[in-house]
Amino acid sequence: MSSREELLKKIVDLLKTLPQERLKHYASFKDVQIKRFSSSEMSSVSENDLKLQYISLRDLVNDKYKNYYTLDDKLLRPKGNPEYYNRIMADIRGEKKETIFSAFRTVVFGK
Amino acid sequence: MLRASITKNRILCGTSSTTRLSGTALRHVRLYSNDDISNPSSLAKSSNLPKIEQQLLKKPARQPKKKSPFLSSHAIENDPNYKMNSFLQSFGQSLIKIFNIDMDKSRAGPIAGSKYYGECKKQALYYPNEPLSESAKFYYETLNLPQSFSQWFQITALHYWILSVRMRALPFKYYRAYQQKLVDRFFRDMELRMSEEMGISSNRIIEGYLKEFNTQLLGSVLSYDEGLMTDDITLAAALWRNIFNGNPNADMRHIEALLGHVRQQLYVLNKMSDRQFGFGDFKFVEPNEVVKPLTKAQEVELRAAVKRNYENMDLPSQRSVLSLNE
Repeated sequence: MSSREELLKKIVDLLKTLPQERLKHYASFKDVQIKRFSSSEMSSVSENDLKLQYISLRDLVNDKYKNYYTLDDKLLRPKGNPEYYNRIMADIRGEKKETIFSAFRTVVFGK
Repeated sequence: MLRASITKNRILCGTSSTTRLSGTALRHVRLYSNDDISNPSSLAKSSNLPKIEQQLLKKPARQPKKKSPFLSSHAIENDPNYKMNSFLQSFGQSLIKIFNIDMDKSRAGPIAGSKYYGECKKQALYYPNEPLSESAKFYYETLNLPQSFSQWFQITALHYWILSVRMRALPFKYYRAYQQKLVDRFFRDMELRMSEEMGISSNRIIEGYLKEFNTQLLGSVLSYDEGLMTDDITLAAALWRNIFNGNPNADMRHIEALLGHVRQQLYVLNKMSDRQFGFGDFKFVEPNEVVKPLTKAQEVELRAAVKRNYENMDLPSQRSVLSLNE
């Protein structure tokens, strides 16, 4: 196996480790990129460019920027609306659905 | 290793590449470092992946036919050297004092609705046959995004979201006022741009577009919020869908560069006090600059410098209950 093929395999393997998106969007990053890097079109890309693609993807998967630019509770649990992100995440994960009454309360009072 | 020399209002640290943290006080912080985070623009340029044009539209995107004043034709917004005459100033100060006006709430209009909206708007603003700004070059030349109104909207919406993350950390009533002013101005300006600059004469069509943009804004804010609370790859996927238009051939290096650019803005905002942010001291970091995290000692010095700056503000119009410590 050439090093280019190895890089392509590494990229696809890395993409396969990504969790499925919690919300259904018009396009899935994981699926679209797996299809792209598995296709024969990528065979014309130079080894160096493939390496850069792999490094970038690996940095994104390893949360390089999240860990480098750490944010504290000031932004992640904002005092203007401390439950804002918890409510969104609970809804996305399907733990707690917004009811008609809680949605009405959010619209009227803003939190 | 960082070497810090602290001068009046300024923290200087030693070695190679110059970087800048935004905000009046933060703007004085210049850091030089050797570690492996490079500025988003250079990072994106390091890839030579063949560029494949994405076919999004059946016909070429509609381009601006004329150029309106940046925010409005009023001197306050249009003239950087505008100064209110002294009689009006003293009259205004007396009114604020007599009626005990809540200046933090009143400031939401000129700061969020004008200054911060201007900051968001100019990031990706372009006009045919005019040179691009540094940030617009990053989006349209380095990241190779198409020049269109909807692309400008998506980039402006991303900057709106970055600011709204910080606004949420203000006390509730001020957060609501700032966010409302910012989003109102955003949509009012889009309406004007569509009718005056893009030459759309039908109000019904403009209204339809505005509704569509509103839906897109809600969707992208939700995706970015999810990315903020989870991990880099979720935020990167949200950027890929919204800014890169779900382009299957998007360059990972470009996505990483944009994600780094967003994260460094959030970091600067996280380090700003409510007072600085509320007074409009934030400016977006340019894509050719890189922010390096502050050390504890630098943070303490910075906080002290900010306090010194705001201590002398004792006019009625400069009154504020916003915190200088958080």
